[in-house]
Amino acid sequence: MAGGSDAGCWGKLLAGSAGGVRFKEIGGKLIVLFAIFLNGLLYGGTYALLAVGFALVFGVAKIVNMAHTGFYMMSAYLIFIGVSILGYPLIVAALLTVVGAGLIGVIAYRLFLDRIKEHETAVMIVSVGLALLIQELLLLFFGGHYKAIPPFIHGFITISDQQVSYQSILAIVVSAVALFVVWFLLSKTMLGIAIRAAAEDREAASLMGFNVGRISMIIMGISVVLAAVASSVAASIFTIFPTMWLHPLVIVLAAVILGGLGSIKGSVIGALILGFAESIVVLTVPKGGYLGGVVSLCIMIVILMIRPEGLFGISFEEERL
Amino acid sequence: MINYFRLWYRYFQVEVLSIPSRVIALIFFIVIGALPFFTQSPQVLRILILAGIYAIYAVSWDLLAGHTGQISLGHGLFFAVTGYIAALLNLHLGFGPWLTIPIGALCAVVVGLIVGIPALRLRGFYLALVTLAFPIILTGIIFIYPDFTGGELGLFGISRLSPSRLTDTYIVYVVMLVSVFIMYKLTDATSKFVRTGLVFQAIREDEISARKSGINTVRYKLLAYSVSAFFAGIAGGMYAHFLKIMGPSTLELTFSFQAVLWAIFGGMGTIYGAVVGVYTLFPFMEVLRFFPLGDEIRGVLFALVLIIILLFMPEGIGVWVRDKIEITCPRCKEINIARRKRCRICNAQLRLDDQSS
Amino acid sequence: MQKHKASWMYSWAACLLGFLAVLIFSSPGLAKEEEVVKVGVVAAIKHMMGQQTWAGAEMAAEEINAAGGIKVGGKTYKIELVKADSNEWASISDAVGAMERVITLDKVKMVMGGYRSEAVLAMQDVAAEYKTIYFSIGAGHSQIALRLVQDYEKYKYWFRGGKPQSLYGGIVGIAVVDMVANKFKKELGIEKPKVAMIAEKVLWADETLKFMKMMCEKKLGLEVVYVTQPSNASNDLRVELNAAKASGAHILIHLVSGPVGVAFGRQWGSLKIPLAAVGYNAEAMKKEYWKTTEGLCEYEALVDYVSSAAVNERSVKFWKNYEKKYNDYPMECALSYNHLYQWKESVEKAGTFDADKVIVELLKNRFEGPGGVYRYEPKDAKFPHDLVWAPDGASTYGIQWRKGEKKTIWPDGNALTWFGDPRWKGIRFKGTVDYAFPPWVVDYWKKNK
Repeated sequence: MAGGSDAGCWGKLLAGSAGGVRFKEIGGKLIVLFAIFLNGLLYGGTYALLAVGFALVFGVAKIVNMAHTGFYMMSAYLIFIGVSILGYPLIVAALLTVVGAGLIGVIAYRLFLDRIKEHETAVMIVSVGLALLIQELLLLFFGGHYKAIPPFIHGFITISDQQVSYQSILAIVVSAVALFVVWFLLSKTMLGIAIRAAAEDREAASLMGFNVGRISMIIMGISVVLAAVASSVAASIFTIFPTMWLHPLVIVLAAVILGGLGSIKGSVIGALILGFAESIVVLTVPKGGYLGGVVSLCIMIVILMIRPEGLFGISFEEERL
Repeated sequence: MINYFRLWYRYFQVEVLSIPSRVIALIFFIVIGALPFFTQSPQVLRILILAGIYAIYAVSWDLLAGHTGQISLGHGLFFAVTGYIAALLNLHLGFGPWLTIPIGALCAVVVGLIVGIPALRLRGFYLALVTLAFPIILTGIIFIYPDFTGGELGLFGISRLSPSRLTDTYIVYVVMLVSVFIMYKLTDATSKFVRTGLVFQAIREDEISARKSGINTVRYKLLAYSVSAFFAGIAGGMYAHFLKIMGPSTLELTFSFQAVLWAIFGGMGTIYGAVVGVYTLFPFMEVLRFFPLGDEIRGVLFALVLIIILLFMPEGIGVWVRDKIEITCPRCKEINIARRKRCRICNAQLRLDDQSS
Repeated sequence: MQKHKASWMYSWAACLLGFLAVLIFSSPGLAKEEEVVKVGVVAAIKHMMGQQTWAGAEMAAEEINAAGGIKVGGKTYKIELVKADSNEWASISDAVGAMERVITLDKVKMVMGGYRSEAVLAMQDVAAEYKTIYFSIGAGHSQIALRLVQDYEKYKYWFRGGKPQSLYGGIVGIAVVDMVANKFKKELGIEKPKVAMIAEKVLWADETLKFMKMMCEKKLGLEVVYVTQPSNASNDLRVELNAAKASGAHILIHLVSGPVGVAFGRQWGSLKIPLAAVGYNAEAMKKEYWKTTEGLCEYEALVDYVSSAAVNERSVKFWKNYEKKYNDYPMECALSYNHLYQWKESVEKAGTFDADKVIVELLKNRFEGPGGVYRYEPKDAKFPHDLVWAPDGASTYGIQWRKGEKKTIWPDGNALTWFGDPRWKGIRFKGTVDYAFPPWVVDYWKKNK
């Protein structure tokens, strides 16, 4: 039972490693362009769905809903509960969740956000509180364990020597379809006109006969429904855990700012830009793992320096210095 | 000699004793200061120390956001910068806390200016987002150079603030008193000695008009950033020396949010609000751990308390309480106890609906 | 109306005062200590590691108490465990506070727990300040032990618990890689299989990555053709997995500890990436991993710290009892079990709870249990108070997921002999099986020689 230090060769190796062996990563050598492109689309699309929901609520109800990605997380967990605990088939659980999420969004709006709408900062904090509440409840019931929900379609196809899962293709398609539906809703339907009117000028819209309060409620519901749709396809690709709402929140906020407040088109484009940026950086830059979020934010800052109202934002009367 | 005392006492009577909120503040500070005499339990002292540090942190945010209107969602940046600089100075150069903290705070001021200058062009939500970005960027930088900054592991082995926890408590207490008082004076819009409070408020309310009135808003905004960063830095430096470790956890989004939560919970735009927020929420969370299920439902309770209080008192708890106990005279603008019918100074009617003579 | 609102305020003031009162009066709530000795378990109870730390300690405490407790100075003491949430993933300061609380308020004589190395460094200071014996459970960073070299008398109260230093995991990982490489040679005719590496961008993985890369290139003579380090916040590896495939590598070393772990198993299996997966995956050690990945993780090979194989008598019983009681496989943190036993034995030998004397006995203690023979490095070793890693010390095992179970595949009888470490020769526990290739890997490489 002599001291362990006479483990001989191992001792020397340990010492060497503990001292810090330097090496260079080979991240740059294998840039798999197609996979990066697809990845960018996937991330960009998911973020776009979330960003649009967020931007709509902000535009119409002037509420910074920090709990938006919290609802996204909640939907993912609801689907998980539906499938793993209650035993419903995935499609049923997903549909139930989308509908349920919409209802929850509306109820949350009425209960929490509507009453203090005038105090903008208080609303923001209450929404943070909501997100924290969701997170803590989930932590309480599910612990910090990582969960997963099954994909709609299993399997993969091989495109240019890359295995691409059907689910990721489905996610991209669904994102595109959902965005199209939103565009259609906003530009061609009466409800859409009401929403745009309320977003542009609440008082004028109210004077013109739109029930702005009801529109706010509806838009909240739509926003959470979008988040739920995003989670139903994307969450099966990612893992589910109670703090998964923080990172997407930062990206969504950045995307909306980048695109310009008040512009739905802007948020979508902002989200796509950031999604691609993140995808490219993480995979091509050495030490890219750390820099994903950083690069997105740097892009945002740079663009804001050049154009303080964002890419497509409406310039307010207050001018810059 | 006695006359001076009488003068001072008169002043004290008028300025402090007749205003209920100031009386409460006085009692509060006396109680907090005397508490260590009654219990030396390390738990209680720890809560007092951390509450004091967080109070300075939250008040510094309020100075920037509540008073000058620059809503910052990345306030943890200043806190962490000083913490790291203090830790590095201490570990590599052997400086004691009395050196590391001020130097670190000055570095935080520089960082404050770095953040402030781009922020000059931005408003509202845009500003909030940019400020949110800085801590994340710094975190990335820290991770890239782990040899120097300790990476995720952070820096450890920092020397103590003072030889015993009791003296730690008093140091933090005194620093907090001084810091909060300075920040209060700097933001007091009614003060006749210091103009900055009024200017900050002007900038918050309508920056364009302020500029048109001849105020150099750039200078004052940068001043706000510097002062705010300085005090947040002081808090951060003390934090590093108290915990004896310093890691990137203070750069996380949640820590920056904490300052916002505390300040708004207590009442944004009022220095005392941030203090109230910290001293109610933080001990509440800590005390919960002593109860059986406390550890587990702490988080849920915190979120619930936050939501419910803000739903009913959206201006913040401190402001809400203050409105109940005080009223400002419409004529001479002096503060009176709410129960009075007439102003104590100018004898004007305090309330319009009051029909009694 | 006015009165109604005022009463609101008063009740709130009363609540505040109440809290203050609790603060003041919450000091020493002593329990009668005559026949009970308290041991603190400070861990992240909401997370798997924390729960396991508690579970292992609980099992040991129950067994010890059932057998009569600790006999010191003519009296018998029952162990009472005090649970405290370190919340170490969210706040280091909370971990420090929790540990302080159990020491000063609950007056525990020993503390176990602490998985996150950053938190353990802070908790070491608490142990040093209050001179309380402290076993960190599962923290693997070398720095923690190096502090004892700088100031032994101050930090001697710390002992590494749960698993030996992280790098030994890397060593076993290489051993398994070697095993797999030999199999590539024998069964598929590939002389020098190429290696790809995916490691989370986290401190421990960073170091282990460097170490394993060096070992592959220098000791095994295998070419490392692709290295990538995704962020630990990421939970999607499809691009990296595809890139690994494109690099032409045969073996995939993966070092993950966060949510990526689940993503790895699912995506590697569902996309049928044709690389043999070997590595460390914190999520993959859980029993529910099979279900969470819908069985797609089959054939993933891992380094683990507890084995279902017959390492020694106690290990088999421990595995069975743990699985029955907690419905999960025991992992590294459940080995808090060993340390509680070791502390108990040392206290009895020293005849006192006094930390300084118990430390002397702890350094002499040998405990055969799950995970191997637990014993500590002495004061003058390179890493004092670390767990000794050896066949007759704390061991590590290679396992592979097969048909819903974690099967032990290493040590396989030839372990490490070709590295020049003769101590492992012939060691193969009953219940060990041979490593098997995933069938799609065999198909792919048969076609693409």
